[in-house]
Amino acid sequence: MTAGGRWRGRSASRRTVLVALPLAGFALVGLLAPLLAPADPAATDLAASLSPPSAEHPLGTDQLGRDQLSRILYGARISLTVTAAVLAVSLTVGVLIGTVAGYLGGWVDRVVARVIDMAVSLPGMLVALAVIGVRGPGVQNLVIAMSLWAWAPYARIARARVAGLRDSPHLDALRLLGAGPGRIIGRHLLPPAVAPCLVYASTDVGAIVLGVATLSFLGLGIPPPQAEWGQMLIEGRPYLASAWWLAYPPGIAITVVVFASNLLGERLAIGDERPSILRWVLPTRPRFLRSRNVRPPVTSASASASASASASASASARAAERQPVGPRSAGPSAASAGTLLCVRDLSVAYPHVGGYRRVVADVRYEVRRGRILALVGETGSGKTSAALAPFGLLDPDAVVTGSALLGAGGEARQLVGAGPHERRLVNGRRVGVVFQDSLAALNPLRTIGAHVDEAVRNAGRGGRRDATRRVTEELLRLTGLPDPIGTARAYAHQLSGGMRQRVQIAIALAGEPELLVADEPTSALDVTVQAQLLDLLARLRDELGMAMIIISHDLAVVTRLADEVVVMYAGRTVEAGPVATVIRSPAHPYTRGLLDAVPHPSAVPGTRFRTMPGRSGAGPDDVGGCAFRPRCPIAIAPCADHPPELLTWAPDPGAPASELVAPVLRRVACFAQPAATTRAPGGVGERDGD
Amino acid sequence: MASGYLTRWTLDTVGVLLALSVGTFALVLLARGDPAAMLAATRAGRPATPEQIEAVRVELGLDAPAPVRYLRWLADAVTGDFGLSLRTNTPIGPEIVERIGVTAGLVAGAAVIALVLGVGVGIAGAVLRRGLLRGALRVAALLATSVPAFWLSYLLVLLLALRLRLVPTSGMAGPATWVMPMLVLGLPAAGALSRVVAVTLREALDRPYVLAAQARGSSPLSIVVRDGLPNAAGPILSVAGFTIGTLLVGTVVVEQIFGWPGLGAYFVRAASARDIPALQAAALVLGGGFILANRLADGLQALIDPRLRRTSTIGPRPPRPRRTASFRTEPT
Amino acid sequence: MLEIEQLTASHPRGRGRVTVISNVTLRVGAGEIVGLVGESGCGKTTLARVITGLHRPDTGSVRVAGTDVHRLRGRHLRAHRRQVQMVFQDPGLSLSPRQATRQAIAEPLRIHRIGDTRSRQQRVDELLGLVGLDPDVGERRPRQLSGGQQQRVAIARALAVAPRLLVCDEPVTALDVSVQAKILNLLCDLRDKLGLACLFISHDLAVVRQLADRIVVMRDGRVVEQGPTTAVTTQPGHPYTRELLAATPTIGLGPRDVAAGRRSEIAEPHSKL
Repeated sequence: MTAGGRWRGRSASRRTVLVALPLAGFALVGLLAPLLAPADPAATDLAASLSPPSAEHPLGTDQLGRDQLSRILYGARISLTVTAAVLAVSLTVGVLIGTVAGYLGGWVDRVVARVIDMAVSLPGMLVALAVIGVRGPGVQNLVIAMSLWAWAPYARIARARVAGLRDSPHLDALRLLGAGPGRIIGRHLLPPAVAPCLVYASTDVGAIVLGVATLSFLGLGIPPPQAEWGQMLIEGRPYLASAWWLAYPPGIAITVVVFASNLLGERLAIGDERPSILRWVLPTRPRFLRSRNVRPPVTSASASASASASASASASARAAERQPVGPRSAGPSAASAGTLLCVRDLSVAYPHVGGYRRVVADVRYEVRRGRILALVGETGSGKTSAALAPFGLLDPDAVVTGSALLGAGGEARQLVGAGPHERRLVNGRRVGVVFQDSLAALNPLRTIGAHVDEAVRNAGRGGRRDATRRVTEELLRLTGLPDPIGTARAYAHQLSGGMRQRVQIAIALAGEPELLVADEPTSALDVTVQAQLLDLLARLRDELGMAMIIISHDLAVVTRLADEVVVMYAGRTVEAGPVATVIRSPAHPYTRGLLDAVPHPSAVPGTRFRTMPGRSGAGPDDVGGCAFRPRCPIAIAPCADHPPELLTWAPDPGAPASELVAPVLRRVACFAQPAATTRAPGGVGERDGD
Repeated sequence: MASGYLTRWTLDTVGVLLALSVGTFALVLLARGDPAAMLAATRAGRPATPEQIEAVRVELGLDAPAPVRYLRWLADAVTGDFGLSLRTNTPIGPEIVERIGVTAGLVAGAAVIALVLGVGVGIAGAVLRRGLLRGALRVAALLATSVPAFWLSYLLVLLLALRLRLVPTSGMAGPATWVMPMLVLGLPAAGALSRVVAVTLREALDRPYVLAAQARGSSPLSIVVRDGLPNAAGPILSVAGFTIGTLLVGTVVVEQIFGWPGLGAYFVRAASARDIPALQAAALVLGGGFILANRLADGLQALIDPRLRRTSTIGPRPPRPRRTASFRTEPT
Repeated sequence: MLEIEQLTASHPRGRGRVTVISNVTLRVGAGEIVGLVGESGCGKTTLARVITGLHRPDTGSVRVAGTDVHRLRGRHLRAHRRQVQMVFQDPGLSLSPRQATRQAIAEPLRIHRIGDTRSRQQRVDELLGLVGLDPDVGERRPRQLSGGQQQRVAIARALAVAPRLLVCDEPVTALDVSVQAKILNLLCDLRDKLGLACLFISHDLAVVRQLADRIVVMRDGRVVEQGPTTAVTTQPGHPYTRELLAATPTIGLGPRDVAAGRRSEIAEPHSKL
């Protein structure tokens, strides 16, 4: 965690302490009431009845002349006593029952869960009222009545927590290490079960205080001689209009305690502001079985291609129209003819410690029509942000600067800073996106068909409902799904990962886009499924003439598919160029490191990989100079000064002649790259492009 | 599939209702004092003789063992016969029926306030990402849930009845008198509901499928309506059902304050007088309503979520995703 | 070291059970790394759980160092468990979020009451060095570590009880390629230094190929092919192995050759169950 994260954490916890202050005050007043109270709360003085606030009675007196302030303080004491007793009983009982049941599982768990469910679905206030109704008022009966229902939410929360952990790899590991049930429950299950219960308790304080006051107000809680807030209010009721000091202070006291308790509960609950009531109703989000699907197997991924000739033919025709006929003189901002997306000096920053922190810094890349560009880098290298930022698909807090031109020449459209309306003319029409986690990227409550239909309508291709559905089925067929009609009726959780990824591709194709952006499209999949999907993407590129950006952490995956590659490290581009030459002769030490990490087919078993020291994860501005310097084997003095610029780099002399005239330039950002010094006259690199 | 779910839902609901009836009946066993003695005293107008008490005991069937008494009591209760009130020596059933209408009207009005205000304010709280209004809505909602109903009623009486003289302080004679009880009952519920709506809708709108919908060019309105609200609906429905249930329970306080002759007031009177048969009757009806509201909300969830409709199967644990998904580069 | 004979195992499903492993026989010798390859759902994770004793088989036997795990109970079972340890796929889930690295590694020593506080600290230092972690990692909690570091901690914890067999269930699948290479190196080093036997489970033949002495290919709960690594990868006997080999991404083939030259004959496996 960075220094900023700690700072934020501290400020947040300071605010939490602030919120908890009223509760601490409540507890303190309750404990010290006999010391703080100026008078005996039960001492009547009929001569001074209903006297307004004065020096002698700061909050006035009631109809019997009792000191109102002392009664408020003693009221806190009673509330505190009952609250503490109820919490102690219900927390202990609830957590124990829940933890043991959750750990044991089986029929014990099922029975206990049923009992808990029933207890939770009984109305607590009614139970308390009924019990007091038959037992009579009084502190002891109050505690019994409230504990009878208060334990259930704790049991439910603890049980859900423990049951969720029961089969986790973490407990499996402990069992394998030889830990017995006592140790597992005591040291590894109880603490995580207690934590959310304590969070819930912070709200429960308010509920109990409110409950005690309400019962007393109804004459069924604390009997009259004792001072209690709710009961003070009912006694003051006849003087509501005349003696305000009887009506306001007890109500304010209750409200403050309950409000602080609710606020604290929301603050402590996971997800910053999650109300605790949600944990009661749904202690954990429901978990569903993943993709055990119901579809028949695909016969052949490619067999359906011909069937979709009409859809693909029209798409490639449109793509052909967009293709410039001859070499056009590009404007000064476009890199070369045939460029579809030209990204320059793209930076992405997020709010951080009062300022902003960049995760992508001055990245440049271009995508040519009909070509596939791979963005490669490790987790946290900013590759996804760099690819999605032009299309506004980042967190709304992200600040994107720089330039991203879609299209070339006069009709080029600036994407950075585009408004929502402009975005909708681009997203889904000219650009389609495939996300990494296909299960999360599909709305679980809508059918596959509903997703694709919507995409078709958004792209302006839909007509009446059945016409839209026909386009949808065509699209699903185009991506090699064998049973488009059935798939359209299915939900995401009923499909396998590979099928869902095909669905995402179908959605992306709905607008007949010029560009497809795929974020780690195959990362969660088996190798054979991965190979099929890569084949599908290659086929779509060939048939539809579509350009693509493929984001991946694995160089081996992209070499099958991509024409050009951009290697990113710590939010910056470190190397770019045609895939074949970059892989044959990587110029940047980081690219070389990535290549070394790929298993080699002809290596002898047991061959060690050459690895890079250190770890990734730094941001572009965390290290002065080149961000890779701490891990770099060939770092030289200038590397510490400032980040190297991305400069054109002449291919090695042995490269085939075709590469020397290749439309895509090799570029590298490295001071120590020996070739870099010889590539331009005067030893100064020429900065190309803008 | 769906019918299996319906069967399970019905069985669960009946089970919880039976549990309620057992609990309610068990109140007799917890009771201090002898119900037969109380009724005999009520009839005689003075402390009763042992013979009178014994006669009442036989008349009420209190000499039978507890399980038998439970079954008799339940069979009678299902037909609306709750026996005689110990306090008034009159049949309880008809009085309950009379009062149900009053309570139902009050709860319906409060529910409209709670649902409209709660869902509306909640959606606003989720859609507004930051700013003063969002914070103000949040504090107002929390404050509304924190104010005790009886004190809120004081404040409203002081403001609306005594100062502005818009409505009478109590009673139920025409629409003007409905305003305050419904507000007192509905406002706290609206506050609680709006927080749940705001948080769950915000969570639903932060999910990756919303990003995916943006990527295919869906409009913000369509995203909130098609992707956000349905996915937030589960918890919202749960809490809405719970909220309407709490409204029923809340009538206990509100009817007492504003002098409405409903079930809540009846319940409190029975509890104060330890009139056990009356208490049981009121608890059974109010508690049953509370449970039904909750169960209906849970049942509705399954209509929305196709994953819940499938009958659960216990099988091998689902494979975990190999790489953890990171859709957004979150700031640390 | 590990001998599995005619093993069959199943999971409960609905009223009955589904068989996920049938008639698996395989061996791992001392100091040997055996790669187990197969797609998700082929039963390889269940096999790992059976070997470690977390899942009870229907028939067949699992012998580790000559002892059948599933015939042991209670204290004996716990003592025997020191022989076999497991490394899980997601290190973030297999470590306790509340324990700092040092505590996590010392946990098995405390469980088995090995040594006193001082000697345990020494052992933890040794283990940290063995898996290549800096001492300053010792005070951090899992969430403050990278995926690679978490996996190293998990390996160190498994090694604390000096096991003779390490079962690694997809230990690098959740990691970046560059981090994966480091963990694979570590496993090779541990084998060389400690003579540790290792069953390495993965869906990725490319990884297994560079690591394992022998390869076992599983499909639909059955072993379809096994043999020395070079034999399996150069002269695959089973069509499924060929399919896996063809699908394995490698550097060096141009994009066109791959897309044009190879089409999968075997359909994407989606409905297994």
